[in-house]
Amino acid sequence: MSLPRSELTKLRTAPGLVWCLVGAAAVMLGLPLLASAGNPGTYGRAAFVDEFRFVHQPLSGDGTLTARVRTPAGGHPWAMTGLMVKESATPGARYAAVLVTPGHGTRVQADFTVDIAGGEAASWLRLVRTGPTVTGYASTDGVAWQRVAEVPMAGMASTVEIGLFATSPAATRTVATRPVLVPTRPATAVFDSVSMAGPWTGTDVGIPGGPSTVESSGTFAVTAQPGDIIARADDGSRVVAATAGTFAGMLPLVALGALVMTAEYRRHLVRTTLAASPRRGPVLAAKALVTGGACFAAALVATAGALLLAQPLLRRSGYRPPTYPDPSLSDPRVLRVIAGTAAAAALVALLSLGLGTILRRGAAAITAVAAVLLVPAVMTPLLPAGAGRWVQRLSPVAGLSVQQVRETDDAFLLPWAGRPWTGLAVLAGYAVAALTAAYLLLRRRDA
Amino acid sequence: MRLARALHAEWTKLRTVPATACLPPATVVATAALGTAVSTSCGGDCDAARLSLSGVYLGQLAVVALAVLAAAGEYRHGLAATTLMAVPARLVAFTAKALAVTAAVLPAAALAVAASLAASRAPLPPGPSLRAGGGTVVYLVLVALLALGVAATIRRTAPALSTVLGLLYMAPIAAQFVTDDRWRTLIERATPAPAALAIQDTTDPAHPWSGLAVLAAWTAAALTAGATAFIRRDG
Amino acid sequence: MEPMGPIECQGLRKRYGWTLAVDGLTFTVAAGRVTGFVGPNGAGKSTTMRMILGLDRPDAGAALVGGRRYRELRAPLRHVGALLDAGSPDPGRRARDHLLWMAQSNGIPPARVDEVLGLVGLAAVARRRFGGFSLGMRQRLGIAAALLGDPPVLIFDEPVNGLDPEGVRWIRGLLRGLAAQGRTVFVSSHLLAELAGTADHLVVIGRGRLLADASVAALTSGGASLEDAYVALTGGSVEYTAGPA
Repeated sequence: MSLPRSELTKLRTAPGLVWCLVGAAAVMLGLPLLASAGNPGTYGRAAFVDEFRFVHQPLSGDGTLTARVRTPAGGHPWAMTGLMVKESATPGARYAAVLVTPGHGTRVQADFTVDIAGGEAASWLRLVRTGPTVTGYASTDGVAWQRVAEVPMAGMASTVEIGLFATSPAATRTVATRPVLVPTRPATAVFDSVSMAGPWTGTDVGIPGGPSTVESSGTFAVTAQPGDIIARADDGSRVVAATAGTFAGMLPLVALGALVMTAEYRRHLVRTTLAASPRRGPVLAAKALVTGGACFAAALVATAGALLLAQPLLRRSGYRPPTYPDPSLSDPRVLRVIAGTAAAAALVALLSLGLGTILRRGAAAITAVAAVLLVPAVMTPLLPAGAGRWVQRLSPVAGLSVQQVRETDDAFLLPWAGRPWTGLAVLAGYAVAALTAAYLLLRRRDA
Repeated sequence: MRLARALHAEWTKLRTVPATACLPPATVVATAALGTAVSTSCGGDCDAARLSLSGVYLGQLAVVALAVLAAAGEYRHGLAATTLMAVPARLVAFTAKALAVTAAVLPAAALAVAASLAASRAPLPPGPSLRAGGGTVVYLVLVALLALGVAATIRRTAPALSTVLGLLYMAPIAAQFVTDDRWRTLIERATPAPAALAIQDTTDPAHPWSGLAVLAAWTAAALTAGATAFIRRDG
Repeated sequence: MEPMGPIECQGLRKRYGWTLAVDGLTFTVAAGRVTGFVGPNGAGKSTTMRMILGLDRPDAGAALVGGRRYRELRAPLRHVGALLDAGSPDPGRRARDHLLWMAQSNGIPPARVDEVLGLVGLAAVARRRFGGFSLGMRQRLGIAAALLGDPPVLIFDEPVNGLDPEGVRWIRGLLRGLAAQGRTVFVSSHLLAELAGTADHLVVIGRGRLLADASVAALTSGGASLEDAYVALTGGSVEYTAGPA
């Protein structure tokens, strides 16, 4: 038991190491507050928000719109392309739509609450309004139609807007809190064989400005800014804001982990240490315990503090109930984010400790950890989406997956969307491998 | 004459220590290997030159390490004193260091870029690729000198390395946390990297050289700070 | 060899933070004899030597070698050879390469490197890397570095540190031999008994101030041992004294 205590003393009495901890905590606390104090979000008081590009014309009474989706909007599993009937081309207005998505097939959605799946993505879509009912059809060849779903729209006005739309969920939030690891391009969908003639109006619903429609002889290319038609405004920003500083705060911890062991090699203190306790396994274990524990504690306090202190700032910026409910510490998701972030920080330091022990020189260890941690993170925006996602999944930065709050957005930002602990396990695997190799080498070597 | 001798000595110092001698070849290998691997993922609709040159994100680590070791490594155990006794004209000594690091990095960068482009698995547009490659070589040299300046100011390997890595990798991420759009754009334009690597964009670059200009400004500032520290402070 | 010259310190003052390390220090080290530099721990010996070698800038006063400041010398290793704390320069570098770059920086021919390695007895391990050197070997290498430029002025800080008795005797002979050639030899040491046999002249400082600048003969006149004379001089300047046992 004295070994961890002596390692703790070594840690807390080395000013450089203490500064690393303090610096990391300061970044993990400061950046979230900076991010939270910024401009108010564009989300107002509506509980639901829609943002999409709508190419429409008025429809009085019953009607049918048929079109072929030549190119569906891509870039995200939840990118949407389709036909819509909407009470008016304003956000929050009632609507019913039939649409296709790259990752979730054909669907019918309505009134922000209805979402019905309908099989594989088709290329022909038809929307029929008959009295109070709107029905969506899909076809692969334009001849044989399958009914996807019928939605009762009682109380909808007689004159509505009907038309084509495209949208794709955003990869950034209003409160920018995480590095955009994989880029999304604005959704561009191309329609042709549209059954209704013009004139058409193009409206960016819910988005200020934006690119426009191109109509060329019956073909419509609809480009939309990132958005959604069924988005819940609450994208978890009030919790995610607390994680703004995690990635940047890890760099001092990398230095810390590397220096804990390599500083001793440099000053030949390692001989003193190993003379005082010759069995090398316990020495490494004690260092790991102390380093990991100190980093965990610092990151835990900083992240929890960031969460609590950011709330008043976020509320003042417009993130208020009922649209953005108050996060509570008894919510298991919130606990997961805080504890998982602290664990990720500790694991990164342990990875650095392992590499520092293997390489025996601080500069080499820091460079190696940077190579493994930072290079994938910076490079994935350049890679095509498929390759980029696998690089993210298997690199240590996947540990940040533990911070995910909402799957639909996070699917693109964080590699293990839907499986937060898997990402952390990947990072843990790296740390364990490094420490194991370090232990084996330590036993074999002279001091 | 003094500078020539000092340069000769600095070069010998770099080449006689395995840690620094292996870094230029490592730069070549890392850059070419990663760039080649990345270029295989090109699906046809991609910026082939940029992908094959993206190995620079890994290769620059070796370049930074070299410069940091050259500048800060001497302050351990009094080797810096020996250097200053041999070449007490401090500006000459510092310039010699900078020139030696450049002489080590420049051929390695050129070789790395050439190998990356040659081994690319995707077809490359010849004219823009040349500009992308040349810009990448300039980028690596500027990064090395930036690291040299920072390390000469801080004088300790680990903090200097962390600072330079933070500047190169973390600064763009930190810029995103600023929610005010004007400030964010300002900060993004002002960070040294990876905006500087816009030079690699062969599809539709707006101001390809402006990113490198920003990096050059940072490098100049770092070298000035490093030289001042080297000259004015006690050995 | 370059022309001889004395070391002159004139009114040197240096402050580190709150501590006044050296205060108004004035003395001359003449050529042709071994001058010892002694004083209690923290007296300012290392600081003084660093100022002579241009490593630290004095707050006041000047340190001159052969009438010139160190920083103005064109090929300083040909004028002054110094051994400061041997430390452990980069462990990956070979001994010979360590001397080689120094030679190149001052335009000294590479053959001289092998010559001095032979002089200090390290010829056999010239190609070994520093990491494998014992303290004594590192010390010898430092001495080789000092001799590299065949300088008329030599400054040694604790030269016998880490040397075995044979090495100590060798150093004594080396220093006396260098002085006999007319060079200026300035040696700082804690080993008074050793200095008594080597030095002709002593500069004694305490708390950054000059306490004595006299020949060994003058200090030990009247039968007092050098140690007694030293303790008498520096009794008031000692920084760290042990408590009663």
